[in-house]
Amino acid sequence: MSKRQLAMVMDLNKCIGCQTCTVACKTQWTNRNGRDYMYWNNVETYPGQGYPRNWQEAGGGFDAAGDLQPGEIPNIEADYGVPWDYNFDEMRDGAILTPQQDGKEVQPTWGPNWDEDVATGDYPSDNYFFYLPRICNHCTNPGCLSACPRDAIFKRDQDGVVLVDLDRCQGYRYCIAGCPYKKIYFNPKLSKSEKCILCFPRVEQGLPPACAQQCVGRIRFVGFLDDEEGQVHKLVHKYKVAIGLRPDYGTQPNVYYVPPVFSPDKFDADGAPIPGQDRIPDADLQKLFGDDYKQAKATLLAEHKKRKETGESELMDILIAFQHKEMFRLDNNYYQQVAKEQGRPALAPVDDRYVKGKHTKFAAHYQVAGGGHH
Amino acid sequence: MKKFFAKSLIALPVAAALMSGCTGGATGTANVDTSCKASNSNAVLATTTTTFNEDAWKNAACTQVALYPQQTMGTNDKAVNAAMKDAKMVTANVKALTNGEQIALRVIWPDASDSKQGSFSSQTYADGFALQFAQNDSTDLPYIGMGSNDRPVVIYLQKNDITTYEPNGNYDHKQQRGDQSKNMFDYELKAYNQDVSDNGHSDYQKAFISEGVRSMTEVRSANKSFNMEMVHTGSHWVGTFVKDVRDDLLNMERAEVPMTLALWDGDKLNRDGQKHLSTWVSVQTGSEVGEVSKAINWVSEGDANRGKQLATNNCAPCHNYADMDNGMPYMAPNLSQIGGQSTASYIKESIVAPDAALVPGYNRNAHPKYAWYNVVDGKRMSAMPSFSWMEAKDIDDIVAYFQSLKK
Repeated sequence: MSKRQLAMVMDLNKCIGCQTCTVACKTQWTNRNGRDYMYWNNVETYPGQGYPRNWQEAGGGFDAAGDLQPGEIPNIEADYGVPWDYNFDEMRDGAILTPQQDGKEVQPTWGPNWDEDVATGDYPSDNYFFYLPRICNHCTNPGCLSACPRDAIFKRDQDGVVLVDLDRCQGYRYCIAGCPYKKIYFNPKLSKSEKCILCFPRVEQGLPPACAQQCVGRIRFVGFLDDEEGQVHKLVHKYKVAIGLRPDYGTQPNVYYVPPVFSPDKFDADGAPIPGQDRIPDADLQKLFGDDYKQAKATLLAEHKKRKETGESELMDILIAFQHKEMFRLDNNYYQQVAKEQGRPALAPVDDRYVKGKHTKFAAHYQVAGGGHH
Repeated sequence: MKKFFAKSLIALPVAAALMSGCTGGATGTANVDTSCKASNSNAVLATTTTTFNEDAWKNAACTQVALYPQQTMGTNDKAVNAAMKDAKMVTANVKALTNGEQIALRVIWPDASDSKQGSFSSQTYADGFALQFAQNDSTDLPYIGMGSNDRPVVIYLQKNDITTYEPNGNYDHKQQRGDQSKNMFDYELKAYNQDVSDNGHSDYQKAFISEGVRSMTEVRSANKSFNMEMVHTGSHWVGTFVKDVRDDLLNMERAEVPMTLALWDGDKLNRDGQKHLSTWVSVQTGSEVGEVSKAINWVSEGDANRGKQLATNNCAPCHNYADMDNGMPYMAPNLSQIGGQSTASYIKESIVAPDAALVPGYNRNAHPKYAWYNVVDGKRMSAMPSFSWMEAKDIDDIVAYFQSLKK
């Protein structure tokens, strides 16, 4: 466990599935150097197979006794989907439209939003779906970290961000099997694992992660869990309406979700709403959010009602998300202080904090005369 | 690939020592003799020659080394566990040549498939081999799993054609630049990407030094004084290792150098945690058997049957081995292959001084209830108590029993 924990809350009642977060992340981090197929941030449609395909059935995480469970490593083409493009240049010369990857024809069978907006149920009576944006959960008890035989994954003390030390990583991929959310990826070009870094170079400058900054629905709150004035703390600890995804995996995730409890009513045979019959079944949400879901739902509905009746509810005001500066409580001064204590400049190169992580020593264990490692 | 070989031939005077034809790929592999006529036990005798050619290899003394699957602890990857479930012992034929300046070792092992790690795949793994040498002359041999405290090992690793791209080909992630961050278009961009690809493709050949798990450090400067290649014959891999007899990292100008082998089978999804390992053998430049070889060859004279009984009472509560499965699965290393992968002295040391070497692969966070080790003052101490209180005879008997455990 880290000294402090930076956390994110996502309000699923407001996610419109626009993928702006996905694009913000992709253009910032994963459009190059073997990361091309990865979506550190994705928005999937639930119910659906998700990204990577069927990640909820791919193992990893911990059982009730605290033992890491065996898992699977998804296949790039079948489970993540290859990033493909079309042969537009050749079409000028009469070629037929063909999906291609690196100049070679491919037949994509899956992608990060392959089953987007595919609903469950019967239209129009009880069909439903909702969006589930996912990033690395920066877990308190990370499955990836626990699976690594080389101690190449570490959790930063100052904010609990989980990072891969690329100097130590040897590309064994046990971390991928160990992460129940499948939010750590194998970079085949570097033969190393990579994952969401919670935009720590931004966070250290007092800026929220790019996905949160760009979110047009303003569903993402970012702050330290121990910051009692912060909205993240209030949503998670004071009102207990924000819950980790699949808490049964035992990793203690630090991305919290406000469950989508304000779903429209089902329709009867005449097409009239049936009051009180939510389209999204409680069973679905209970599977995703565990036992805390019921209480969270009750609180949300009660506060919603209170706000309607009295015009006052701190919780509803928070969820309206009036001001970015309230939603993102980051602490530039704190990070500068940490940098000072660690004896490095506040704007140290990314590599000093990332590629050479906690367990990689700057001086080699063994120095060969006339040579030099680092 | 072309670029790499051109580079290596210039940079490494020892590269010429690699067998003719083998560096070129398929050509010449027909000449490689995969048979093993003479057989020595636990000793690889270096044959003196003037040139390292196929004739010299044919005439070199051959030793058969047994490698057993690593089973100290299962991994958390379902696929590799399934692929290695019924893994059996593999025999590698090992030969050595020396011309006084350089020493060459050849490892030939059966593997029908030429497995590569794909450049766009998350599920493929490369074949590979590694040689591990004890850095110092001592009858106190290091632990085979990456050495032990004050008993360093030097490891040379070659993986089959792992294509990794790092723009300056020097493992330097700092220099990574995506093509989209370059202010280039069309043919300029293509040229840039070609350049990245040419420079970035490096032979997956590495030297490490280690004093126990977690201390393993790559020694990049060692690349100047060794070279490794592996060539597939269709039924076997022929791995060749050449180094200056003496360099700053490892002096092989010793009568006997302790060595272990490791093999990876990409087809079976092998990587760290699931591979084949040998026990110590000695690479000898003379025919005289010295103290190190004696330590390697030491077989406990204890009574294995009595040892089995003692082990049932003293070891089986925590360890699983052979048909004993009383211990909780994560409590302690599985000892089913210990006779094939450890010397008698290591087994004895582990009984009387468990802190001397901690078996790698266990992540405390993965099984918090079964700590293999505790951290005391920043040092990892084995959770196993010392059994030094046992009678010497009892210990010898247990060692004799464990030496018989392999399959």
